Amino acid sequence: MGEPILQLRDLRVYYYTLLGAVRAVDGVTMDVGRGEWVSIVGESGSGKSTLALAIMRLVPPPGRIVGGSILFDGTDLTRLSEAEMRRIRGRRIGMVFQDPMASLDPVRRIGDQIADVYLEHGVASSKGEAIRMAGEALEMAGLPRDWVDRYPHQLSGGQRQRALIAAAVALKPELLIADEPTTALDVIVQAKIMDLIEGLKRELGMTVILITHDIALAAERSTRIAVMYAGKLVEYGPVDAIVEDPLHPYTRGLIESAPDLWGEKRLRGIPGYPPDLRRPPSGCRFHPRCPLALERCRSEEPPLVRVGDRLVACFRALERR
Amino acid sequence: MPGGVILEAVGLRKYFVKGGGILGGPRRVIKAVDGVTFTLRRGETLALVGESGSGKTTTGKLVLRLLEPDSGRIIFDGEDITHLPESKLRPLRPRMQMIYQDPYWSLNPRKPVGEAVAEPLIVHGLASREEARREALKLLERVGLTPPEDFYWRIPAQLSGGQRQRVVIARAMILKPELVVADEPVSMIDVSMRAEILRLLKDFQRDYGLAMIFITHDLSVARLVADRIAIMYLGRIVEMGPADAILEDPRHPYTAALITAAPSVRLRRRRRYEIRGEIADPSRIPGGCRFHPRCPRALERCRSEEPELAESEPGRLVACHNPLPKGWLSKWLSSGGAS
Repeated sequence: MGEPILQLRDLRVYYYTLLGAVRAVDGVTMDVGRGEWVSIVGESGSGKSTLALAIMRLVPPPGRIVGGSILFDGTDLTRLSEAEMRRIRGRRIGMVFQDPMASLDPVRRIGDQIADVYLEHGVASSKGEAIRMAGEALEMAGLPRDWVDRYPHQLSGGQRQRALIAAAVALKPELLIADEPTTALDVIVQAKIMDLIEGLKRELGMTVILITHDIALAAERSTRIAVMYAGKLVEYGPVDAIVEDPLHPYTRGLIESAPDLWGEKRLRGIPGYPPDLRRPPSGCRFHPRCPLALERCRSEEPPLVRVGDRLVACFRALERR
Repeated sequence: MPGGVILEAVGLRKYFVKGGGILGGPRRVIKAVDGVTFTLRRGETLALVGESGSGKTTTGKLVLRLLEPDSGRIIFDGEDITHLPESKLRPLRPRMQMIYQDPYWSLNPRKPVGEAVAEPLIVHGLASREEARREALKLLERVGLTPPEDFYWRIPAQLSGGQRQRVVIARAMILKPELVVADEPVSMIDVSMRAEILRLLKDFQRDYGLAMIFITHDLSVARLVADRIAIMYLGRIVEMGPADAILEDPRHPYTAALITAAPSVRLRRRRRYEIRGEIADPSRIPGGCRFHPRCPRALERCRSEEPELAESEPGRLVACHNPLPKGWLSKWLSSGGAS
């Protein structure tokens, strides 16, 4: 991995509800190298989507970034004004979300919506030029150039996601953040969208951060996988190490829980339920569900420490060193 | 071990008409289910696998008579129930149950979950309120909501998604049904909690000898629960047979595409069998074989002549004029490398 393009330092994002603060992201520290594909994997409530929103500075109220820093190419995004952030969003960091229909305006042509990106950032000098560039972006995403004239409802689910990817990479960003971009699509189309992202990454030299609940999907494409549980980063390392020899019991549980056509024909789960993040468990947040928990895990929070080429937050994993 | 036949579906069709009104836009006929035939034995699980628009959920509702078929027949435990009036259907209802995908919508938000579990016994006049409550407590315990007294008076909002799905299962199983249609019962549930839900369904199946139609878009989940798999595409079954046989040695090109596209931790770098485009709009089903515009093996004949679902070898059915040869998948994967 090259120099880091993104460095998160003790990032904390809380949602302030009437029933207390939900600690959605609670002290995450990690680096993403330029040119990497990092997948952030976790279940609902892990904080993975909030983390993605925080990097874009798009956490919706009642949530807010309450601490830590987000260094993007050396600049702390948490200190930028909204105007400064707007110049980075779309231009240097692109993003794609889960539901293509919710991200597209149903009554505007695809081309006009992509053209907005060029006009907002002052890259095109006229509407006509912006539309022409939108056509090129569509082509890059595997759609015909003249589809600039089409409306979202004329496109299939996969085609809409392609149009959104076209908008996200229109300005050739250095970093693309994709939050569950294929969850609404079937597996065959999903594979093609992943191919597209992989191709664009190569072509544009982008860094990719994929947010997903599906560790198998992550395992097929990433350079590194980060596993989150209950607002914490619990393990982070190269794909092969993570999936073939997981150190954290949650990572292991997640892999064994994932049904796999070429895996064991017996499904294992993880006992219990994820915690309420208004009152997270003491010590290690995974300890109530952990098959290996010791007395110490109940009271003391395991720090994220380096083990070989990865990071892991587990007292038991350290015994294996 | 599967026993006698509990359900036969013969040539089921269900079309929906959309639009055509003043504001409804052009009139379109959506052929949701377009000639589906299968049988199911007691104690057996048949997985209906397909993407959205394949007709799998509509098929499930048709066999339970939650929707009226346009044509075809449904035979439940030897009795033709296709046109049975609701009054005659009522005594059969407790014997056939549906479990829906989304536990948020299938429970009354204001009703205590214990009461929701007890309700079917009371509604069908099978128990007094007292007996039904006692039985509901047993079921809550059985599905792992313990201590059941604590859970009985909670409302759905006080439960997690996984716990709610347990309530839904308890509510279906309290009637000791003989046939259950489970529609994507784990797709909204976090991966780490799926195994428990699937195990619960399998345990009830064993204890009651119930037959199950398990609807899913996920072949890897189907593999874990199904004795047989039926692959659906645009309202039709394109391939059906024993689960292992289908997954290890598919005959239909669509099945092959689904199998090789399924994300896998174990076989991360495998060769995908690529097909073109996306599933068609079910109101514009292509002529001939409905899969032919996407099919890499399509022949001239496939454009004009729809293939029938026919036996390719004992126990296996495929609807294809140019099926994959025996042993194709293992060769494909071993000659692989990255696609």
